Amino acid sequence: MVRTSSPLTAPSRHTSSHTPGQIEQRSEHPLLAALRGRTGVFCIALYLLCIYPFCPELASTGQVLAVVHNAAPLLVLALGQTFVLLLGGIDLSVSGVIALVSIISASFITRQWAWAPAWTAEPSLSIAAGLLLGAVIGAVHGFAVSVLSLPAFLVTMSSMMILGGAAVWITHGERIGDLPIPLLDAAQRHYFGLDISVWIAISLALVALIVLRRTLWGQWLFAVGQNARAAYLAGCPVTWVLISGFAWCGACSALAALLYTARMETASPTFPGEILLDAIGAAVIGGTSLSGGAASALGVVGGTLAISLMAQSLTLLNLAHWHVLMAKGSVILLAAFFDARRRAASAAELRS
Amino acid sequence: MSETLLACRNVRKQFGSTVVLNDMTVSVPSGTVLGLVGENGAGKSTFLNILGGVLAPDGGEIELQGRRYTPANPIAAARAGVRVVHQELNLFPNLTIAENLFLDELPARWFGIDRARLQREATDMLRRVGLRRDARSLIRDLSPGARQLIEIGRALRTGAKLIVFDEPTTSLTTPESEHLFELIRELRSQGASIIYVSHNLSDVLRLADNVLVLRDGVVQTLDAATNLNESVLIRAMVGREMTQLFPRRQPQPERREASRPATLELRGLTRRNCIHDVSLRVDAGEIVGLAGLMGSGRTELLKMIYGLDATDAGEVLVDGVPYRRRCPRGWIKRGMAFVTEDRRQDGLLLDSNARDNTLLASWRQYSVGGWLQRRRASQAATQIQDELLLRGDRRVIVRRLSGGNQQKLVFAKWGLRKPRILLLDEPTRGVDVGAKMELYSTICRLADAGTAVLLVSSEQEELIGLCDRLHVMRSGKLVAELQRAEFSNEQILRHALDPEQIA
Amino acid sequence: MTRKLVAQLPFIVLLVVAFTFSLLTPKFATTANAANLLTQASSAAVLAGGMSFVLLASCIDLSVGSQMFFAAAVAGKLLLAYESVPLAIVAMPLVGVCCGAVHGLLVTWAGLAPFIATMASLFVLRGAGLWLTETRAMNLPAEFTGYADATVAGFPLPIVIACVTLLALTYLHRRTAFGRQIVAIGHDREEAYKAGINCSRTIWQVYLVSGVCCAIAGFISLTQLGTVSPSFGRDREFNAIAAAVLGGTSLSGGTGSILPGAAIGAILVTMVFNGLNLIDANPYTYPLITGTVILFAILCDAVRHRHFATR
Repeated sequence: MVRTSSPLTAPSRHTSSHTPGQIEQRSEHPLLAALRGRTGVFCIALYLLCIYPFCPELASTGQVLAVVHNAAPLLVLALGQTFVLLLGGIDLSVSGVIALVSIISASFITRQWAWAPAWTAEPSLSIAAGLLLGAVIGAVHGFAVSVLSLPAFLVTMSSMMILGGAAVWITHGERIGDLPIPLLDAAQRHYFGLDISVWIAISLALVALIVLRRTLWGQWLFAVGQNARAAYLAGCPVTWVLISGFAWCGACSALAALLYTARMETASPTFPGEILLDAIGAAVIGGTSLSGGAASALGVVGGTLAISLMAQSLTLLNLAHWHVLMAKGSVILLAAFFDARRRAASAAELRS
Repeated sequence: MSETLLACRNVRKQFGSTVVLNDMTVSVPSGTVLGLVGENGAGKSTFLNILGGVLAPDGGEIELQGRRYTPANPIAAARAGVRVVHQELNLFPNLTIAENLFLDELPARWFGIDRARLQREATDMLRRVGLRRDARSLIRDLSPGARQLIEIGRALRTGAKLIVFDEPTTSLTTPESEHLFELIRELRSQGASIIYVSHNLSDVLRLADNVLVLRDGVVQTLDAATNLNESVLIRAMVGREMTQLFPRRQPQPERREASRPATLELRGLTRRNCIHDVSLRVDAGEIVGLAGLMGSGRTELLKMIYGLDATDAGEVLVDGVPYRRRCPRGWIKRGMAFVTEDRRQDGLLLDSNARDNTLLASWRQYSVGGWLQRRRASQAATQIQDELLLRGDRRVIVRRLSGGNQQKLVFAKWGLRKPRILLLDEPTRGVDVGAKMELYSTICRLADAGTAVLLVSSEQEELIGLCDRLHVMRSGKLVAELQRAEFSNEQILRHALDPEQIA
Repeated sequence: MTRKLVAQLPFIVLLVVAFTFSLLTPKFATTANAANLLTQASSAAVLAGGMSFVLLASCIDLSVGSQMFFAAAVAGKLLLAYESVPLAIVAMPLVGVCCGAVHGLLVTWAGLAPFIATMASLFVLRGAGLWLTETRAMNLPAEFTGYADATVAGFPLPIVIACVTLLALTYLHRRTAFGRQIVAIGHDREEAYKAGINCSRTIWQVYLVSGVCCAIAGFISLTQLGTVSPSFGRDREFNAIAAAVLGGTSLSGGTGSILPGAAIGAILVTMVFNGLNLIDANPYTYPLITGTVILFAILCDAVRHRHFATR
């Protein structure tokens, strides 16, 4: 299932004279060692340093709060994406899932459909249905990737079209706006000065942290992401791990959909596709490898804050939508570039 | 013609601390055929890879027509006039014969290919290698033998000065081989030099002017073919002294009680075009070896047992009970462990640390309701790593450990499961001598504790030193069973080679 | 036998779809509609041809829609600023070549996975195009849009351009060393390297071809639509991939054809939407149907690939 990248294994002459002993004891400048794998953090610091003189108001409490506030749903998305990237896959269907889930949940809550019985308008049930829908969509992706061994990016890309299309079809392109006020109030309540969505995102990050570090599932995710074949030979249920990983991503996207809906107070059948760039960018800046096998929940929190910070600064600079698009695309390119370099370096090490 | 074409002086190559070519000195005059023979792992393929520009030697020098020869890659080697016809075929099934033959320099005309010239030259080449096919047919429609001929044609086409054939006749029919020999003689008469590598000793003796026998990377014999015969060659190939690497094992008197079912038993295992009717049994505490040449189906047999390859017929029994739905998870539950040939591809998480690799197959045992018991797991991992004398930094990623330490981790991973059945495929490949000895004692310790071990190895003294019994495989069949008393390098090699040529 | 049948499969599917629509509506099987369909399909066919090339080399280009848009934006800007039609027509392929060159460098020199590089580029180029047009629709002069209705020897110009491009691509694929080496690279890049092919250069050139195809397709669409709208070229990559794969080009590289493959695929995809239009289907279902068509194409490819892999 894993995407195959075929770096040309040209025989390298200069590295072949290393003996294993030398490799094990290679020393590195401490500064370089500290920066190793933290290129993202380094770039962000550099970026802040450059941007600060142009928008000093970025350092105000209000702006910092806005950054954190905007980061919350993105963090949820990025945490989902991280699990799939860790497995060596990718989920491009984010915007489609968000659109469909918010439409479905909002339709139930606002009783859009005559055939739905009255009890389906119960918010908690609708929310649960939304989350379940996300998880099922993700599981289908996982099934296609693991059992049918289709490439993840194509499956999720076509799924983005299908889901987004379904959302438009159901609503005929209309937004659903009349969400019940008490529900919106509950969803926008502040606790300890922060929006409830921030707390939800933080708790999800904690869950991801614990899952990745302390559970059997987390170990399997890493094992499958690093070497699916070795994991299979060692008795790991690879198919199940892939399906569940994609399902987690789908559920996270669904949760993000609900957070966005609550924030915008409407459910929209179209959702900007750029959100995908933010999610992948946050994951990759946070140290998730695009080729699978490396991820950290704390890193993703950092990556999300970085993306959110960048978006906020671009807004403060009064840049147009198109500049933001170009900037975010370039961030992905840069992150992917560093990721490729890292991979090439470790492949060279392997050959020696 | 006595002018020297290729001269190698003191060529050395080592992987890690294992020396695979040791001060190899040989010269090939132009217009001669050099036969190169040796057991698996004698250093033949390393030598070919150095000539073909895939590997760089660690020492010594090579001269081609009096000039220093250091090709950076296969393309440079071909430009210098050296072509290696590999055993694995590097052809593109969706292109035609002609396109495959001339892929890197298709004749150009205006913006396109000069089809007429391509067709003409390709047809000439096909006639030369003796293949009666239209040059416009696609490679995917050809038989393996025909593909082999195309591969040979590719090497001939540039007018190479030195052509190296690596086991060219394995997939050829007898007339095809005869034609190839004619071709080789013709090339020789035109002044090209040939290095001909084969396990078929009679072919080598018929064809070669000189024969070189390699053993453990050292030149054993280099003599004119007329002074040699097959027995001499076999003796030169195997005449190795036994080193004291192997731990002594107690003979086990209670083994092979007919009444008790074997721990692992194969009955008539068959896979089309690969494995034919293989039956054998391995009892608890026994180490059974599988000897054979490269490509005789040993690895494929292990993969079939483990459920990685499909089986067409036959069954695998554990304690006398047939086990049908074979898959890694099921086997691991039943206490089987499989140390694969390629630890980097199949065995290790190269970017994880030693602990995670050790626990790879056992996380479920060290978790309760999905929660890891990290302390208990770490302790167990450390303990088994200590038992296996794992050296090196255990916190670094495994990619940076030496081959020996990596292999010890693979053993640690399975050792933690306390396996009842252990399949080993080349367990000491690319491992230094010290680690090798420690791995041998680990294998024996496991067997003494009652594990049934099935060992595949290309190193015969490993088989002789470790095994209680040996099966010899040839072209997918078990052709001989040897008891410990009958073990000898010569015996094994005789069975592994084709019997017809040993008169 | 099976292989022959599978090779004819795209054509059979095309016939089945055409037959179904002609049963559903009498408006479908008319000469006027056929001409209309082919004109509509011409830009899709050029895109699909370029995409097939990329797929043959076992790469992918997700940014074709944005490349079209960017090239169109540049052309529109030039048209409005200098009022010179030839300048705009020359500029479009140049922009395509530049985009392709950058993609090629990202994939070869920087070593990015093709889908990541071109996915990021999808957004970057769309942003760049929006920047040029300032998110406004640009109406183009009639002397430019007139090309849509021009004819060459009685055939509409868009169809002629598409045919010429596809023939050129087919020639490139079948009859040049470049095309043959692409097939080798798509089959196994490492083996191709060992066989003496300069893989990086060839893949770079493949993206150049793709860029030029995007520009040509952009030109055809632009003359037909007459305006550079902010959504110009959006989601065209999906149709291009679907058309290429439905036409028999494998996603795993090495097999496929431009003519008839990509052409049939493009006509098939266009026909689906043309037919839906004629039977007055709910337009809100179109994105849904696009997605389903792609998924269908991927599944077909997987089945085909597996069938021959086990052979």
